[in-house]
Amino acid sequence: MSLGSQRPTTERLASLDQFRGYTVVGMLLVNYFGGYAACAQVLKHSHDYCSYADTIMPQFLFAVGFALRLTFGRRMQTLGSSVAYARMIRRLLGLVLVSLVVYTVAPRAGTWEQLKEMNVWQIIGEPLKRQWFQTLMHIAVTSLWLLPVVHRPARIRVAWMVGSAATHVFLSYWFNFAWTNTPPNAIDGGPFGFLTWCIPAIVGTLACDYFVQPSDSRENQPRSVVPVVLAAMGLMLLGYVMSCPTRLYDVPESQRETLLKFKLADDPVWPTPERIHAKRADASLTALLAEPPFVKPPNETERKWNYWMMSQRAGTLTYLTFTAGFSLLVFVLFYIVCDVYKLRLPFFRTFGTNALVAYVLHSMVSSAVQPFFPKDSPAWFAYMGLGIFFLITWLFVKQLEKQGAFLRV
Amino acid sequence: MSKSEIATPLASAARITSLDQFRGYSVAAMFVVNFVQHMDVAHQTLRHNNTHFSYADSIMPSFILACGFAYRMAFAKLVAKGNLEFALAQLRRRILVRSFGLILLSAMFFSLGGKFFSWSDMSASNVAKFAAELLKANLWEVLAIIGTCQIFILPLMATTSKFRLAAVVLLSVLHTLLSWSFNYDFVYGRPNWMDAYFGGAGKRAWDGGCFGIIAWSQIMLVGTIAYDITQRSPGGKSVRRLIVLGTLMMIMGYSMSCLTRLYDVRGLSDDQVQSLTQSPIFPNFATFSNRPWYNLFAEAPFVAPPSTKERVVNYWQMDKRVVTVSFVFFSSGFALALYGLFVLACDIHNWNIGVFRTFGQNALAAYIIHHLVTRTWFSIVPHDSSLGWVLISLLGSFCTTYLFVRYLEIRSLYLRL
Repeated sequence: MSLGSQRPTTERLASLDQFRGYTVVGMLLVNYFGGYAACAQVLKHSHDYCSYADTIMPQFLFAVGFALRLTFGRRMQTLGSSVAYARMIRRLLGLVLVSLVVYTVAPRAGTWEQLKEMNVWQIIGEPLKRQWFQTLMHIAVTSLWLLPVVHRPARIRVAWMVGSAATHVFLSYWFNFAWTNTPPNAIDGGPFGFLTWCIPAIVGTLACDYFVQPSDSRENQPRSVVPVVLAAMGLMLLGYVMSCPTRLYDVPESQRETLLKFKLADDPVWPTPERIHAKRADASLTALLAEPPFVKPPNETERKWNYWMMSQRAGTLTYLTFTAGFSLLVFVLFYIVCDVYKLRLPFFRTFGTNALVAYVLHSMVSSAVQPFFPKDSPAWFAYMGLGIFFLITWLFVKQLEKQGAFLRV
Repeated sequence: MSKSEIATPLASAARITSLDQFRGYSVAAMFVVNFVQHMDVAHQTLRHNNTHFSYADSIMPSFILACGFAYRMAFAKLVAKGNLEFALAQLRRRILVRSFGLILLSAMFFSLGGKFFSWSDMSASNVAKFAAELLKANLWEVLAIIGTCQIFILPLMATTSKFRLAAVVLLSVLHTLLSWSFNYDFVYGRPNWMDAYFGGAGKRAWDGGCFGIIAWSQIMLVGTIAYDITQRSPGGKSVRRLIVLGTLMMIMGYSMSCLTRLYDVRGLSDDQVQSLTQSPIFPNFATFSNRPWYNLFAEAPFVAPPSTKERVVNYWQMDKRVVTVSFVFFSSGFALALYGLFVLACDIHNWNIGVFRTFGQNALAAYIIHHLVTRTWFSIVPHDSSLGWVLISLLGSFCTTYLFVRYLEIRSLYLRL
């Protein structure tokens, strides 16, 4: 059954625009401010637990999955399947091209002679692992990965999500976890990150199924949010429970000195029996529970990095399961506020309806403003810089909104 | 000036093909020049040399002339809608908003050229130094120049063509006087009296620095005059007028540049050479005598002059860094005559090249996108690359930019400030 036929509505969803706008604003905040001494730890990206900053990108993927389900269904209905596929693939390849242009790569060789001596992999290997695979590329590749199932029934999408996640665990066990955490470190999961980024995206498609009512539906009542809140809490709990094996990687005090120079565990995905036995010796409940999300864990001297941490850099299963649930919960709040109570913030609308432009502009404005607000500025001055950065970015995006110029992929 | 003189019947026409095509040509040429000028294999005429007029130097004046043309056209459309006072009030409001928008965009896109590494670096003297260097040099990229010139010539927009032509001449005199007083050394970062008041001593500027606005505004004014010519003279007559006026301006520019020959050092004593070096505006006319007349012709435009060992650098060269008066006149004339040919080709013979249309109708987006695309391609094109690789990469860069801008055109997304 093609569920595309169930989503013929053409109205814009206020909750989705507002949710996306909030996500863009959150991104502006953490991307600009994260490097400042005055910035709270929870607003900084980290690689070993889930901070507030780490909740932003999954929300983008959630919104992408939601919108993809909505628009692809419409296109399938109006254009037919092959044309809809062709158009979507063309657009997503366009986004890949945008990524290649937006994410700058340093010159690969200083001279023509050096360039001639390099093979293709030496030229593109590092950018492919690191610079090119950032937010836009992950959105493009994850969307391409979802295309075969985005119009399929929920059970198929869920099966696709579980299969992708299992593949990510296997690849991480094989090489991917160590590879992404070895210089040049990958960003946001690296080239295989799409396998877990599809979790929030597919949860987004499921949310679309639930909240978007067909235009021919007679019932125009708001949907009950209780089952969705329970589902969101369940996902978050699942993500947290899966993260508890991180405690198996606690380093006993006696070994800390010996293992000081190693950041990653030797067995980061599948713990060795020795490790499990050692933990059993200290089997108190608290010794088995990971720190809750948003709480910083001990550093790598006390706990070696492993796959069960909530790590945005490695795109771990625990991180994306927890944040998929968190994204769903945040979206429910927007649904209640925007679609049920009809409250909207123009500020979020401006950013939410032109998210791609805002994304591209924000790094440009940030590069221009940050040099005048040093990283060690006192809080009042750092906040002033943040305000100026927001104002300028908003001015540009607002101007485009006034002109009716919306760049969407 | 009366309403009927400004609001001609064509003022409300949707688009002028020749203008879109001319602007598109300028943007496309800018892509080529901005890419190849960093390459060792590039011919000197594809670089900005600051010693003579190269093909690369012809691009920015063409673009600014097109801006002046569009500026006047926008004013004429406003006049056609209401009375002159209404149009002027509307124009003031729009231009101030758009110009400050352009300046802000330029500042964000090109950054402000300074950095404070720590809070302790933010002393009053460092901040003042930053502000002086910003105003003197770092701010003046093409978008900021266009924005500021639009504000600078705003009071002249309701005047007649003759008045604006006179303003061009007066501004030339003003720029020459300022250059004589301090600006030539100011732009080149050499000692001058203005440094004591302005700050930024030793900092070299480009594209004229802050006082370059006077020079670029002249070219923009010529653009407004070009609009008047096309609106008042039908068909071939406007082409003739544009080409004749353009040729006259080129002759004037070239004639002024001939003063550069008075800076030849052959046969001069060390003292005389020293004296010439210290006086880049007023040459030693004594060297005028005892020279055959043909010895006083400067090299033709696009031809590189002799090295600094044979000729002292001076204000009369067609120098884009200072935006000298000879540069302004020759480049305005060149752009004007070239635009005349576009009118002939596009408005009379209905030629319309797709690539030029795409770039010309979305010039600001194209400009921003090409910078990002070029930067990406440069990661695999070292400066000493072979000619073949440079050409392949140039084609790749050009086509990538075109793809993006064409996509925006298909979706009717035009970036205008």
